[in-house]
Amino acid sequence: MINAEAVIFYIFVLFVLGGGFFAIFSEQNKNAVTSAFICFFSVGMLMFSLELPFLAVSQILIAAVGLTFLFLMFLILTENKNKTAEKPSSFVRNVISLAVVFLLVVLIAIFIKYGSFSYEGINLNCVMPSTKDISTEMFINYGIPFLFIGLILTSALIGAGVLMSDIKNGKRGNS
Amino acid sequence: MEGFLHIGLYHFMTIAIILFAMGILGLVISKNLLKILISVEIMFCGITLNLAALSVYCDITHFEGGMLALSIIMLASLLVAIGLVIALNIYKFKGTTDIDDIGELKG
Repeated sequence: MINAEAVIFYIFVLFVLGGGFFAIFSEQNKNAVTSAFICFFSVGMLMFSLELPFLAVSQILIAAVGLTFLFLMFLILTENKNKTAEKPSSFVRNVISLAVVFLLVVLIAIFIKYGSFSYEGINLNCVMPSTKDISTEMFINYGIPFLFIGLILTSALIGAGVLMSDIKNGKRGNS
Repeated sequence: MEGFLHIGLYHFMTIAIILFAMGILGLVISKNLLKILISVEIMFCGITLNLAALSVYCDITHFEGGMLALSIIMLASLLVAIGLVIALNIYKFKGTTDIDDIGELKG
């Protein structure tokens, strides 16, 4: 019996895999960015279907919208001179890479299906954490890792600003 | 047929593996820096989805995998932001984002 949950799941899976496929194999960069946005957004919707709304919203806001904006800014800044930069890659190289990756997928799938991975401990009826629980957990038990990530992000922001200001001021020559 | 209709951990892990493999494939065959960064981000999406599914199916509190996935989302965005700045620098100095053209050594 087909249920709505399975239909919605497979629709989003179609968007995830299709978006990822076209993001890699599309010829034009703008199509690749659009396909990547569809892929990231659909991954966020799959997280919604897993009943993880906080993680799904983070995935959609940060990964889908934010990164797509960054990619589009990069395209706007590099579009004028870079229209002919994309070269067709070797057919044999593509076929060998595809075969190796397909073999890897098959091996990992066989391991998960028949290996030592145990499905014991699955608990779908657990209590969902509220926003207060997540914030309490984030700032008490995971305070130091998030502080570390915040420091890295701040240093990356400062470094990116310094690099861009050097480019604008012409301090870095054509070496 | 029943296995396809009852969505479980195996389905989410399969999608995550395929996404990760797609990212590896994109890393291998792409010659454009932008597509390489998109491929890395697709790999991170697969890892995040895997952690989210494991946290739902194997963790009572949903905290461990969720927090780790949130950290990975932040670090992936950081990686892409820095990578795009580096790619923009390369484009300003070399005039291209093709890795075959920018990989040539001097001398």
